Amino acid sequence: MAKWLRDRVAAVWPPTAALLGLLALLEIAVALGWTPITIPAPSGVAMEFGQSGADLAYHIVPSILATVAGLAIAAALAAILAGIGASWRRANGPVMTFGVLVDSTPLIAVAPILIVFVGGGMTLHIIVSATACFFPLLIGMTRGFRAVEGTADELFHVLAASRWQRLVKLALPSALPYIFSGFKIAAPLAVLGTLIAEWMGAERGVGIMMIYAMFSFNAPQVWMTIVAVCLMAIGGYGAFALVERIYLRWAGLEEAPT
Amino acid sequence: MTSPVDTTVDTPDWRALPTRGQRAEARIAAFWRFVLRVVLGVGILVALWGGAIAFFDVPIFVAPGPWDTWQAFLEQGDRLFGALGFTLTGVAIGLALAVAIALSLGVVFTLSAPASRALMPLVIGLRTVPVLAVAPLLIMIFGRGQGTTIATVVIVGFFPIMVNAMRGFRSVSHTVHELFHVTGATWWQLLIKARIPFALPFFFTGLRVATTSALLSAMLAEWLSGAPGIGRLIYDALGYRDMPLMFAAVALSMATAFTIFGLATALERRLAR
Repeated sequence: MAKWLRDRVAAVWPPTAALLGLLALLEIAVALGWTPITIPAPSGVAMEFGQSGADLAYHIVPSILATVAGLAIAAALAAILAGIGASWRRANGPVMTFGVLVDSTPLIAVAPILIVFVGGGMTLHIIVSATACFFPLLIGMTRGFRAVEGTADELFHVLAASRWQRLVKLALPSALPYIFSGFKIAAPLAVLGTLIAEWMGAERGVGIMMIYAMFSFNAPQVWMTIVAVCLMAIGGYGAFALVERIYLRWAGLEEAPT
Repeated sequence: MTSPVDTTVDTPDWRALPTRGQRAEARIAAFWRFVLRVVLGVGILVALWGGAIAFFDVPIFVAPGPWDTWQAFLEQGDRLFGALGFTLTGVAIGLALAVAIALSLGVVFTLSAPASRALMPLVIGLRTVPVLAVAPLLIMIFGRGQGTTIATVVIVGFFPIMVNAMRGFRSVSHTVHELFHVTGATWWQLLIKARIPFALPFFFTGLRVATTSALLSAMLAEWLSGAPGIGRLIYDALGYRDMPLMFAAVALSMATAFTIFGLATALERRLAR
């Protein structure tokens, strides 16, 4: 245990030191007046968090809701399509083509058409967020559903396992690592999708707060909203990483190399 | 019982092998099949679109049919392609800068272990962050012109190129490394003759990822900054409710995105072998 801790510390301290060093450098540069007015000191951004924290809390709630909803819808859709692709071989090609098509469509180009049909409210944010994070989920689930080993499959067949036992004891455990890694990629993308949709217009949302701060040339506030969005994305990634770790510990498996 | 020794070796009959010409013909046939499939797919899509517009009797200021869009495309072609050219120029300059910065930083990180240990986790960590979110900030710094587009493309393209190039520089196999060491090669020779050739496939993968997201981020930056590219054109058309023009611009940008995606994928497949 002590060795594990020491390894951990040895891996963590250089990037932490580099980050703190960069922040200190920026702070000094701003104090000496070397930077343009658009780059505030890190302490200024931290103070902005204290000053307009209430505004940020007001704006970030619908953003989080839209991100979660978009992620859930994309996950459900990806699960259905990947399930179809896995159980019916011939459907796999079209499903993948559809995924690539969705992925390579420039969101910014399609969003105005969506605005015409669904308006600029929460529905738009959820749809754009779901579109942004759909592809990694589809890939993760498709690979997951195929990950059952042939020998294990035969063993279950020989032991006359029921369909339910197959699903719970064979298919799910072998699929979960892929599904988790899909979710870990998708969560930051869903945040980005929500942000882009909110830039186009929203009543409440961290994206529209960012745009207002930009138009009023409030540099610390722009930085603050950007940091908040980054924290949202890291939080999403971290949540799925945590669930994955808990699952692995519960199942008594080794930590998968990422 | 002396059967003649079977001397036939299991080689394929050379006359049955495809010649270069036949192989080329097969490839051309595959290409035409692909074109046919694309034309068929687009045709079905356009037919559905036109049918839906005609069936539900949608007025032109809500959504135009294919024919009105085509008219707008013909009438305002100069404007559309001018805007597209502006955007693509920004994308090209931005990608070139991103490649230069990413590769030089990648080389530094590969050669210096302390720098890599201190900064690589930060770079990897930044990958989980939506870098596109800094676009409003770039507008404040670089103003409302081509500069913002270029900066956005650089920031978005930098990470995939850099991370993949690093992975490639590291992928030099152990035996090759030892051979270079035994023959007394300098770090420079190791870099030029082993690390860079080994890194090429990884580099092209990174470039493909960067290229496909570059157009989207450039359009996004223009739309926020107001630079006269195709991203802005779409929103201006939406603002004036000039729906045929907007649909034409959307169709043009989607076609460009698919072309870039296809070209980058094909290039990666050809060059990464």
